[in-house]
Amino acid sequence: MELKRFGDAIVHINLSTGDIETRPTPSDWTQKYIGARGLGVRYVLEAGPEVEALSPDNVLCFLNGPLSGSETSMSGRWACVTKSPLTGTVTDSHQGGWAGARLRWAGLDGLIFEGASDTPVYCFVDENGDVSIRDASDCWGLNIHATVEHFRDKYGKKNLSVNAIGIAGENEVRFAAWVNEDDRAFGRGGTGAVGGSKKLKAIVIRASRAKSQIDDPVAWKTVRREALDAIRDEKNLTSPKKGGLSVYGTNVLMNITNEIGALGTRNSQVTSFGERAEAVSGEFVEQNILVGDPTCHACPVACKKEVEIKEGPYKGLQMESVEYEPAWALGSNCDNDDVASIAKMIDQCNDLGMDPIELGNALSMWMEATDRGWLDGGGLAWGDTAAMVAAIEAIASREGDGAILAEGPARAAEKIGHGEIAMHVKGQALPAYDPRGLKGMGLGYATSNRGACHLRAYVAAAELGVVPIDANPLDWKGKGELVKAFQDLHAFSDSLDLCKFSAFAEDAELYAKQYATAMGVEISAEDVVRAGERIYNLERYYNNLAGFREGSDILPQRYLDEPSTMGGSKGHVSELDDMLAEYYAARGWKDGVVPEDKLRELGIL
Amino acid sequence: MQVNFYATLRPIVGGKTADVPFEPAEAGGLVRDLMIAIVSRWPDLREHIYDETGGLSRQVAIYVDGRNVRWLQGEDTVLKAHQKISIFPPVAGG
Repeated sequence: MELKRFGDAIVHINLSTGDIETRPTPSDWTQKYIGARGLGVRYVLEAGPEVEALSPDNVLCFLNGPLSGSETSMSGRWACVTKSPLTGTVTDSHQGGWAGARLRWAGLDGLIFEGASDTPVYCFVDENGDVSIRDASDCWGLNIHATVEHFRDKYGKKNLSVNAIGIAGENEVRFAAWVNEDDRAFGRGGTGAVGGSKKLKAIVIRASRAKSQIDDPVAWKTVRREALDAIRDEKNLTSPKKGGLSVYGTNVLMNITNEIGALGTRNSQVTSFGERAEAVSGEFVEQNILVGDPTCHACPVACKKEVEIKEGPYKGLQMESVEYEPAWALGSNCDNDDVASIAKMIDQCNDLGMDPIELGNALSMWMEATDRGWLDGGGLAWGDTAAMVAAIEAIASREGDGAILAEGPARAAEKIGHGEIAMHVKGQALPAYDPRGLKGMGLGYATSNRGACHLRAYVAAAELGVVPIDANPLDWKGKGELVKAFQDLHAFSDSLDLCKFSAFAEDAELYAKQYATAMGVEISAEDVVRAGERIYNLERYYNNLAGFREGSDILPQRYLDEPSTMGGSKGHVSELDDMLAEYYAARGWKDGVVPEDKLRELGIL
Repeated sequence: MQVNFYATLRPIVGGKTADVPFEPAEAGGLVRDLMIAIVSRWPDLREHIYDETGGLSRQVAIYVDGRNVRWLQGEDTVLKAHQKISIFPPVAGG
């Protein structure tokens, strides 16, 4: 089978009425917003910024980009875009594995769900692109691993991808996630809760590999080779079996952020885990519990790390993957240096369907509240792993205090009258880079359109020196322009949809060449950046309409007032106001609000 | 002097930490001298530490008490006894 041109096959599914209709995307939308993230935001805007996230009026978009599922390296990504029940902003989350590729191979570019079903349903996509909504009452109440097995029993394992929500999504936990058969997640922003509110249990796709329809196959093959050579270059951390990301996975970061004082510990009261970081690092995992390096579609890097726990209470657990973010969120952030328990808790998140970053922040906030005597009985002690494991089940089930924490750390902290101990931006919890030790990352969190996020602007690549841009992590000057540049570039790659890690080896010019030869469009590196800027402004426009206006781009006061305690950043705070002034000047925004002339200049209005 | 190595540098030096025959008080006590001592002991590290011009490579991050020498005085950064020295290859992720 040969794939159709991108944008022709978006399937709109109304779960209230059962209507299913395939409609092409308006051509100026794919021109302006490319696909995946950008296109999804445009559809979410169309639904209206005033909708309630967990109401039938919200739309839940699963979208490929023009390169998803093609032979392009690192193209095994697709996006889930919706209004977030966690933040109230637009949100997009991206998933690896094979599910997005299979949707493309079935001849479809996206699935957009609106309305809500009265009874549990799943969406089935067959080889030829036929879409049907089927009864899921016999798997409602199952967690994700069991749901995957349920559908494998029904349809066979071959060529099958299953995305599902677990009981966390069914219970509308505000940070519930969609997880696929490879334990890859649409992790952030609570997309799983939106699925639960629509009674949508799973998306099951059966499709075998298909070739891309390419505008200029000869030129495309050449630029694909150029991109692959860059990824394989031994100087890049993406180099298969040689680069740090490939050998150790994302958790190769643990020791360096610890060293520089950017590894939040005890709910970011401390900035380094000291000697204890080694026990939860990628190096330790590789030496002691690693058993496999699974990969995603068309990816030579294989950053996922499958582990097996060989002793202790979780002996026999085999899971993937001990990533840096959850290893931090459930590790130093909670004063926990037991990597086996971290693997167990990540596996719980994969099965129950929850974002481990949000979860770890909810637990660490609760631990600080306990420590300060602010809870009326109960609570959690720092590093009490057995209690953490139990709390995770309670959160997914919304039982006891779990019902409070299921609202996310920001709402939970407000509920106990201490909003100041929730480390969040716009309702979404902070990831694993302390803004006092990596100043640009802090600005990126504050100005992220989906709430605190490390992936909207991965300035750490510059601040840690892995891309050829000079950026002192402890100097705020110049970070405004730098964050904007990263945000715009990533907005484009998220819309293609290529893995974020491609940016360690590829640049705007290489993105432009791959897109141009595949799609038959004229596009330069400058156009790539311009398209990314347009997408970023579109998101900001949505958020402005949704009520996020002047003064919304903030960081928790802790990072502004409490100097770093340990590591290279000792004594530093985030100079957010200075960076914001630079950033808004670079963006042409007025205190976080996009002026109408900017929207017109970019062709959004 | 004790030096910490990370990620893909560890297999080259055979462990997490190594004692390098160098004391800061000797030979001016510069990062440059420490690197010479390190490469002398582990010649395979040369390609990781130096670029084609003989300067410090962008492929290495040398931290002195958690500060990258790139943002201090580079190879001319003066070392003192009991400082923590850590050397990383390119590492990032997400």
